[in-house]
Amino acid sequence: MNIQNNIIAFCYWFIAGLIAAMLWPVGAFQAPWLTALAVGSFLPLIALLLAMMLKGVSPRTIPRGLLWVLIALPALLLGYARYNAANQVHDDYLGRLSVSEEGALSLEQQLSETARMRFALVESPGQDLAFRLIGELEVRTTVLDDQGLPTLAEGGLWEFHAQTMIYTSDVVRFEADAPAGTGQTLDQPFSRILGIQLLEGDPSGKLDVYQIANHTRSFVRGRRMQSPVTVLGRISQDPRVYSFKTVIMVKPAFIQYPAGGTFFPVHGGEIQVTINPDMPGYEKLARTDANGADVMVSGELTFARGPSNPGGFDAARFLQNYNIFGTMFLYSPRGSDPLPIAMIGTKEGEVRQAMPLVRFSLGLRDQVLTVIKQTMPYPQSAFLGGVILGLRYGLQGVEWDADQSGDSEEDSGRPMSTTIVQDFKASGVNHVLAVSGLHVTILTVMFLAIFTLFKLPRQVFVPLVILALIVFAVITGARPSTLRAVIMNSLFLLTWAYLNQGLRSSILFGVPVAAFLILIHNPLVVVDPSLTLSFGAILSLALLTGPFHEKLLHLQGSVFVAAVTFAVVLSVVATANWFLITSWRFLLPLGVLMVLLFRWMAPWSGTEKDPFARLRFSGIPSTVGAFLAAQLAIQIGMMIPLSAFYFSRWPFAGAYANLIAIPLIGLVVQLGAIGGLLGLIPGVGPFIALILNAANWLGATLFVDVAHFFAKYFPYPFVHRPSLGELFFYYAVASAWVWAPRWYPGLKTWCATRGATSPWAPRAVSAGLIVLSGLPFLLEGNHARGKNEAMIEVLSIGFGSSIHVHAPDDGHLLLDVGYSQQDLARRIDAEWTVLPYLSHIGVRHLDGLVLTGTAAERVAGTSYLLDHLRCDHLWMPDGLARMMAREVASPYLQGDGEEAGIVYQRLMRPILPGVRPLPTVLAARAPSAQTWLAHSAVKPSIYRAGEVLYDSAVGEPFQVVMLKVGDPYVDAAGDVHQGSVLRIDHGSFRMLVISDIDLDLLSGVSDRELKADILVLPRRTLLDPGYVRGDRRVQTMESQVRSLLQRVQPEQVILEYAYPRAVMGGATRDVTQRFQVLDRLFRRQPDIRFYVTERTGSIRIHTTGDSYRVETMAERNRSRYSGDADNTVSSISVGF
Amino acid sequence: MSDRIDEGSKTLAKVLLASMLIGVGVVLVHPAYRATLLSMWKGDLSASPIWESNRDYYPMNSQEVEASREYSE
Repeated sequence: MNIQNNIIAFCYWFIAGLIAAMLWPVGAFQAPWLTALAVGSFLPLIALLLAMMLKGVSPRTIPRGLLWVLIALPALLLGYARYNAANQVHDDYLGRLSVSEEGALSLEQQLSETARMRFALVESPGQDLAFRLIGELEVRTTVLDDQGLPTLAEGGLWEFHAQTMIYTSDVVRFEADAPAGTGQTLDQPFSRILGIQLLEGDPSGKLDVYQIANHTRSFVRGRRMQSPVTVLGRISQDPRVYSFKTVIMVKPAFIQYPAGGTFFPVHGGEIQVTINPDMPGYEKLARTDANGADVMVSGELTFARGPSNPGGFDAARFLQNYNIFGTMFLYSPRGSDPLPIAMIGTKEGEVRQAMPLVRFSLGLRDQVLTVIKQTMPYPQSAFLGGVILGLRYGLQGVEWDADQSGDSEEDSGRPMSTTIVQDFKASGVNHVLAVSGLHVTILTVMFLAIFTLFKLPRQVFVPLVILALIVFAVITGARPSTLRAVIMNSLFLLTWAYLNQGLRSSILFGVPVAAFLILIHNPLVVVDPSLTLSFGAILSLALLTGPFHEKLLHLQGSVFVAAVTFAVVLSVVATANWFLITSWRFLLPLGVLMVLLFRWMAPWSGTEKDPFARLRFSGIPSTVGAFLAAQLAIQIGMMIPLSAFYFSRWPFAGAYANLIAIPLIGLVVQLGAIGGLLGLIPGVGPFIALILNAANWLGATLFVDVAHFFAKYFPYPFVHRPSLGELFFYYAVASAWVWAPRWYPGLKTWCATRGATSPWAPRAVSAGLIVLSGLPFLLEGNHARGKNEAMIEVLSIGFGSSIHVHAPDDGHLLLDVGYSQQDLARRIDAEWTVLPYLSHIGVRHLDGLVLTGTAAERVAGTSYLLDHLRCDHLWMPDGLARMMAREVASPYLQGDGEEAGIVYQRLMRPILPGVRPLPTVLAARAPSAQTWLAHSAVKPSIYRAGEVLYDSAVGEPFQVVMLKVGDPYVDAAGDVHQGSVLRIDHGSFRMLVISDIDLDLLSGVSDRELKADILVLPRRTLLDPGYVRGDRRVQTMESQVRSLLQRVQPEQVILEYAYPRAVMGGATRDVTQRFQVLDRLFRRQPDIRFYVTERTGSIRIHTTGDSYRVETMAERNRSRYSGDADNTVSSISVGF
Repeated sequence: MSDRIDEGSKTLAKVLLASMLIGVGVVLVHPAYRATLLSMWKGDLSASPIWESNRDYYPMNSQEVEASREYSE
């Protein structure tokens, strides 16, 4: 029995169990039983081993098959049970409600503590049921000190006054025809149930009763503007300090719910609390010492947001993976309001702190940070703090040339510089800011080198190095990637020091063991990018570097020269025109040419006939050769598939930038760490640190500049986001290739025994097997849209607009591209939302982009979108085309247009980095040989009233028709204002998109033409019509909307709206008030369903031509999170 | 393996030595580093342009250090 192999197998079976639980979860109610079963399944193995030990028989004699089952089954069950238990919170079942003839209530179990209850119908009752519960409630109120704050007893226990009261609950009511499974929650809590008061019917045997879990999740609500709760708890992590806010994690011990109610004891879950710097007492919270302190926090306890659009960031899931189930944003108190947050000390006045190891580690970090701030100028200090201390928040928003471009703000009209973080992302070196295996390995090597310098035996210093790595993990926040690296490096050091084993066997053993140790603690991080990217990197290095290096070593002579030339040509072409490199018109002939060239060269390459015979890959110094192979392995094994999967983008420059960045970061981290530690020596230390960090300043500056160079000149494209199936297929092929030496000889023998002796036979069989295994994944379509169905998605992009139309013939049309913010937020809707959404649903080519108006919130992202996506047609209003041709704008512009209006600025003089003027983009995409080859030509057109912009003959007739185009007018800043009325018809279904409420726009269009099932209400409704002043503005808006509704007669109305500060600036308050009026107006319209994208997320409309259905992102999130509603806590609702 | 670590420790020693030399050069040439060296020599942190440039980077840390220095003075 090979113990190491069995441990490896156990860990991988455990991971397989986790994945099975993700794919086929069980209900929360079954999770405890499953855990017991998993624990029980270890008993046979333990019993067998004990029995063999007692009999003196070696465990090696256990039959292999039996051992396999005894290891695999418990591991699989453990993984399955652990994930299910961590992913769900279950309510305790108290039993079936039963009432005796005397009217006494009986339940199998009493409440275990103060809690709320819920009821679920076992069967349809057949009669109306109504009852009240009578019970005791232990009312807890805090013991307050002189300042009115709660008090803590010794040992950190909160002090309460307790008073027991008996009361009767509100009425619990079920209709006679309510189906089985119907649930109801009783919001009033009890500590003990005493009896029941029957009002109607007999609920005996018809209701299951549950005690709602007192988990943090049970007290969180989906919407803002709710009653605040008070939390008594403890800060559980090092506060995250930004320049503009501090974020702390609070582990609640008690929650007062609702305000003024009793305090519930809380078991499980944490809360993320965000505090602004103007909060009294902020300075005490925004520091390391706050970690471990007891606090009282009052505020609205809400869910983090789920994704607003398909492919969007799922903050709720991300936080939940780290055990955070609620968020609170604290605002400074007004006047005599009580403080929303206060640190609470014990009666001796002592505020508790974190455990000693954490305190020591974070204290050390603060001291090293002080040394860095004394010896390295900003922003290089922030970079160094990020890479050696994990303080990456210090780099947020810092511009690359912060010293030179202090005035590069929106008003100046000068181009903005990229931020350092943007540069790092675009150049593929952002991984250095996420402390991971690279950093841990650099430090391990550094410590080994230092201790070896002092000639200490490895058995002595290895424990010290491991301790240093643990301290480093605590300092940097113990993220999964750091933990992975610390566990693996520790295992490597231990096996090296005490078992004398090599690196490769350590990696193959360390990877699954590290994964097991991290995932048994928190199985939810199994899908976290931090974990998967880290494991992807180490597995790529361990498994792919060798085979790649071997292949590269075969390159010699002309083949070597041709391969290098091929790589250079492809890189140059990709840098010059990314569309070219992703076009089959270009790639196919180039690929065929290269294959023919290689086949022709292969026989004589490297021989005496070859003029380049002396050039070969093996001639490169071995360290450099191995490093190049490792970089290739990382790109193929991790960066390309996983970057595309998680971010829908691939930093092309990464393959090159990392050739410089990785050796450089090794130097920067080692010098920074040694400088930081030596700087702590009193007296001479700071001077040594100053000299070392002066040299390191050159390294840090070079690193930042290298990233900027690659970000500026290399593309950072949006790419196809692979589905899970495609990813699985990709890795299956990669694994088959890596392990080919093991299985390929067997296949050759198999072919030979069947008479196929040709060398091509096993190759053909392999290729056939690969194609067959991948076929189901490659053919999997987009199941969101049914056959002959059209799908329209109104995206949620704040105050901007973008609507994606997926026609029945698989054509794709986009109506508008959203806004771009040029302030500190630098948010381009096209980059943040529209392109990730399109990548997520597999769209890399648009048939057309229609700009339905000239408003900035519709058109600002046009050039960015076109620079990153193929698009055959650009439809725009004539006013916009004339503005681009400077026909209409020039007379109104002063100087070079610096004072131009917002639309003119965004399209003609963009100042955001990476955004080009629209005319420049269109000129580059005009039909030519290059754009034909790249399949990237864009045909700009001006639409006219009555024009059909898209027509599909598949299924029911489908058309996108421009009904009316308004007359353009130009304002004093040179901006053109023009709107349109567009309609999407599919059979009998109609959807109307109006870009402006201007009544003139609707004149001349008949009511018959305007009639539609769904109306996308123009957000311009909320703007001042301009010609109306004072109180009449609201009345005018109301009457305009009423008139519109009367003419369109929609069943559903969609308003693309979010808090408009980014777009409206000073007019925000006015617009918000008008939105509230509009919201109230629609509440009074019972026949119309009103959607606001801020609340519902994106809105998807499926139409078959004779029917349609509407589905919001909020509904999709809800069904994803609480699909097992019968068994999970009843109060869960992911909302907006 | 042990040979490689031995080699690595020698390389580290060389790198540190080279960095010290380059660092001395930077301190002599770079005005901010020169001024910082002088301020450190005088024990006056507020005169250090490097410390000043970092004032808003993790500001609580700066306040703590300054407060503790004032207290000790």
